[in-house]
Amino acid sequence: MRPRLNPKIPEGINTSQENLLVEVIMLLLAVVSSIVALIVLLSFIAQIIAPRTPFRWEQSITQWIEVMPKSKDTENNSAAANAEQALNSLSERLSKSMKLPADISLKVHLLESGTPNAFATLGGHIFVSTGLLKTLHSENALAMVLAHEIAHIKFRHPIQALGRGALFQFLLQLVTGSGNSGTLYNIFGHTGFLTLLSFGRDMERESDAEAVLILLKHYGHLNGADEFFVTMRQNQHKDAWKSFFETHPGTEDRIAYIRAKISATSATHNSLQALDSALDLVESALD
Amino acid sequence: MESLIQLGIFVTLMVLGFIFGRRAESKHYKSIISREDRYRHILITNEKLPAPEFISHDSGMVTGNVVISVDYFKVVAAGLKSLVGGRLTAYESLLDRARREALLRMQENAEELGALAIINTKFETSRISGNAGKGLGSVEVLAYGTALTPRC
Amino acid sequence: MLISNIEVIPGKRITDHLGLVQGSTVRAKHAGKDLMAGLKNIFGGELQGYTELLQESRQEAVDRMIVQAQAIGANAIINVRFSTSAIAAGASEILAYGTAVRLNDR
Repeated sequence: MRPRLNPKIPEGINTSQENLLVEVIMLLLAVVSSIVALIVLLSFIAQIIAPRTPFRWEQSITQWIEVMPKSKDTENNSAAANAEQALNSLSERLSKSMKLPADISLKVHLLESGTPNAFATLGGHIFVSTGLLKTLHSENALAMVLAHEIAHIKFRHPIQALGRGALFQFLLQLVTGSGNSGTLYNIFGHTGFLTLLSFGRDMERESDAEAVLILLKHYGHLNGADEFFVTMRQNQHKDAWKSFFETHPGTEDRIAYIRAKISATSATHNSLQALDSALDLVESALD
Repeated sequence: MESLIQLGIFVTLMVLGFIFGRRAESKHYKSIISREDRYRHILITNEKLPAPEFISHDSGMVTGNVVISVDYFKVVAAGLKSLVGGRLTAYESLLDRARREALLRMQENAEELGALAIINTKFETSRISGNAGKGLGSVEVLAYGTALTPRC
Repeated sequence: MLISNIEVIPGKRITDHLGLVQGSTVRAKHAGKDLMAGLKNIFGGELQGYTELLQESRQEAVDRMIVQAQAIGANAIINVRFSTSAIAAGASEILAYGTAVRLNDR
């Protein structure tokens, strides 16, 4: 005899009763730790490979990827063009003091931005913001910043950071599913590329050490080298927790490092070099 | 800083997905169970031939479909799980809900016709992509069968 | 538990039609096997990893269907059908469903 009713089937046969949250947290931890391990491993490999790749490859990358922020056309602004030229000649003088491999060419660009900033990117391009020029008062201080960025390029840090950043992005997409992080990527995509090139703390320390050497060779003393960092310290209103995520060594540490080097040279009475007049001009022209 | 914001958004979406997804799921299950009780008198089988007692009934096709979407938390959970392999529990409950909902809607349809039984029931499952790339966006489950209505 | 995909079991008589039972599962292989399958796709041939995956899933779906049938007191499932759908990349959903019945020897 056929019963009139559908059977009442117990719940939970076609679904699992495991605790999803615990599982996800465990898996997330496992994935994050293996990503970290992978990044450490790969950046170690990159450290070995990067200095051996021809610089020409790096330059050709910049031609088809948009690495450079759109700097406003400095051509029609003669003050800015002169300042850029002054920056380039300074970087040329500095690079003569170091053993820069023959195939590396440097190009300094002036970036019209109020925030004091300078960074090096792929293909030997260095960007210096007008805000930075405004805060610095001697050539020595500017030379310290420039030498630091030149050191980044000498050690091929941009290409290493590119590899690491791309890997990190790729893994992030793999985990979160490309569809969903795709929208995130679109939001941050256009600002994302340059920030991918954030260097590790060890890279910054390496560059600081190299910059100090260059300055010593070029000027014979280190006076004024810490000016930029001292100004930075004054303008800092950062929370303590943020500095944990910062890639640069703490400003305090850098000042301490440079001061230690200054006292080691014992040439304290040397006078500072004045900024190139073209750089002074651009400050007033942009005001 | 950008990556920190990205991480923040990721965590927020996860938490939102977890809370709301969980709430929606338990609510849906509650409603499924109560409606299953209500429509228990419409017997569903997938036999091709009607049982002898229904031999002189009218027949007509009934369908029920539902499109159900997955929350962010489950996408991440399943994405992580598929790295190591095994059962994707996050999607199992989703499909279980979808299938039972489709059956219920088919029963609702049958009730409108005054049917007493549905035979030759079949399922069709399809993934509706477009709103998601690699992960599961939403699935459609269609249940269809032949309803047997007493001849008047 | 007798499982069959025909409706009339030879030598048996259906005494009770209990209704629809179903079992389903979603499974995935680990990322390494996904990668291997992707490579194998270039050359063609059997994707051993996925064959295994679907076989496991199908077995599990059938097992779950049987659990449902046992829970409602059936001793056979007739007219069993399988349906497979690709749910997400590398993951497949298998559904097995049939009519739970009680059989007697004729």
